[in-house]
Amino acid sequence: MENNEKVLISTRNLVKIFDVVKVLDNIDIDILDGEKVVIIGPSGSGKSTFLRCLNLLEIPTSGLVEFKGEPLFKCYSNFVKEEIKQAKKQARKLSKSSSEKSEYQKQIAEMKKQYKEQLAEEKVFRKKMELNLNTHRQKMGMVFQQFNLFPHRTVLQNITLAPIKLKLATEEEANNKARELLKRVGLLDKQDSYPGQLSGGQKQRIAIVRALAMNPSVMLFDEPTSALDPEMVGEVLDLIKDVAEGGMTMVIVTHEMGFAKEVGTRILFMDEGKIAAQGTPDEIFNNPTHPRLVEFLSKVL
Amino acid sequence: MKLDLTIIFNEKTMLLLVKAYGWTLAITVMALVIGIIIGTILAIFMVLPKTNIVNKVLNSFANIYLAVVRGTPLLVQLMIISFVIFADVIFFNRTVSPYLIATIGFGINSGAYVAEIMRGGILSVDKGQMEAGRSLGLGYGQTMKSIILPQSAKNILPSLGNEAIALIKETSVALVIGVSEFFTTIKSIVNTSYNVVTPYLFAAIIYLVTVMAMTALLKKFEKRLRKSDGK
Ligand SMILES: Nc1ncnc2c1ncn2[C@@H]1O[C@H](COP(=O)(O)OP(=O)(O)OP(=O)(O)O)[C@@H](O)[C@H]1O
Ligand SMILES: [Mg+2]
Repeated sequence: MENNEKVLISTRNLVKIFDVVKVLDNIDIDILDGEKVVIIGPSGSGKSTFLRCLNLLEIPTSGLVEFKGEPLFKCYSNFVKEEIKQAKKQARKLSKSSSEKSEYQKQIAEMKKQYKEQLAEEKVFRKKMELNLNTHRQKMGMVFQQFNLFPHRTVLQNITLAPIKLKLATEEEANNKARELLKRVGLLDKQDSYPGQLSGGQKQRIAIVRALAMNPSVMLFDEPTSALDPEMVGEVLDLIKDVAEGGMTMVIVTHEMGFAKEVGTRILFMDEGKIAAQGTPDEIFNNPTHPRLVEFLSKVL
Repeated sequence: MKLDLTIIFNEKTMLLLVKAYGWTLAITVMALVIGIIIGTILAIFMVLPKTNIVNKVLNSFANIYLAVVRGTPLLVQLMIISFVIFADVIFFNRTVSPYLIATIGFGINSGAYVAEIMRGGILSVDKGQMEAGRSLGLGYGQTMKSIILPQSAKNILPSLGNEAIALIKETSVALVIGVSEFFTTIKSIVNTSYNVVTPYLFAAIIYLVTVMAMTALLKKFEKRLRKSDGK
């Protein structure tokens, strides 16, 4: 079965530590082409951090992030470093003469060697990745809670800026494509407006169009309707549904449970930096088993 | 002592003053241009994410530059540039003109102050803007250039105006390296005419008119930049 399903994004042992807090705790996931993955979970559970690690807006502490089979991020040296620290702590507890201690020291030396090799390898990798990363990001559209439109540019320029600057299209091609997309979302008459003149719902729809104009392979949404007035949530969710029906692969962080149920093909429940439960909308919403999930759902539903 | 307009409004003096005023404006504008270029580069050095050694070195360089330039008197800086650095420099068989040295000196000095203005401007732009640019696949430099800097421009314009106004009055310091600009010319008129009131009053009026003209120009420019706010 796995042969005809293409993995688009995958992570292995993904860890993110802020200061001393492990915000992401060894996350392994494969996101398949065409999937609509919806991430739910309590505030502070690491949903945004996870999403932002996928396109490396946030640099993970260690682990692997792959996009279309190519590693975007690969770092195990921090992991080995942590292990060395642990081993040293253990060794200190033992008496000097014990054979166990010399065994430990041999092990630590071995790990240190491994650490150095890792570090050298990762340095080469990072140099190479620095350039590729921008190319990969073009294919990972991102939509933010706060829209983040460019206030000094018109709506049309917001959409065409990146394709033109990155020489993916001529100005004329970019303009035509942008107008076509604007027409689709019913905002063609706003093409020469500035973001400051738009409503929240309009802004978010433009932000989605801006991401779509790059022809991405996947779209990442971080609470796209959380900053909107209630009466504008619908128009944005409708557009996202529309894009989903077009076959786009999506990863969506949201608090809109009805929307999650409707659009998601797989629901991830995150809790304390881990994927505590995952499954189809039916499994997650109608037959939850994980106690923290049950508790979470009872609060939000 | 009484007002005596003839000591200013005669052909010989006027010619001298117009030329001197021209130098003041020229030095100010050129120094400001140099200051903005240096300041922008330093500001970017200062806001670079300190994730690798190169960025850290650039960051330290900017900090040292600011400490040295802002921590020592402008007069001393001009003297050092003129009498130490450019003392033995021969360019096309001639020593370097004090006017050019003054321009470079004021530019270097202004760069440090503009850097702080620019840094404040860059930091005033929401960090979501950088993230939006990067998420579209634009590089750091590209995002800085076409998204962050244009937005910071309108925030820093008032402070930049202040810097220009301060600079136009400060140029008189360049007398120490032999530059005769507007104010030094006024002083020499005072010395030869023994009349204090007229030349200084005239100078004050000229400065006032110049600064007012600059302010008006700035306002117009700011208004054009603010157009996009939809306010
Ligand atoms: N830049 C940062 N520096 C330090 N801590 C951070 C940073 N960003 C996030 N955190 C912490 O990491 C944890 C997870 O944050 P994250 O934003 O990923 O949560 P979330 O699940 O998206 O929450 P919400 O539903 O409120 O958006 C939080 O405890 C947060 O305080
Ligand atoms: Mg969040």
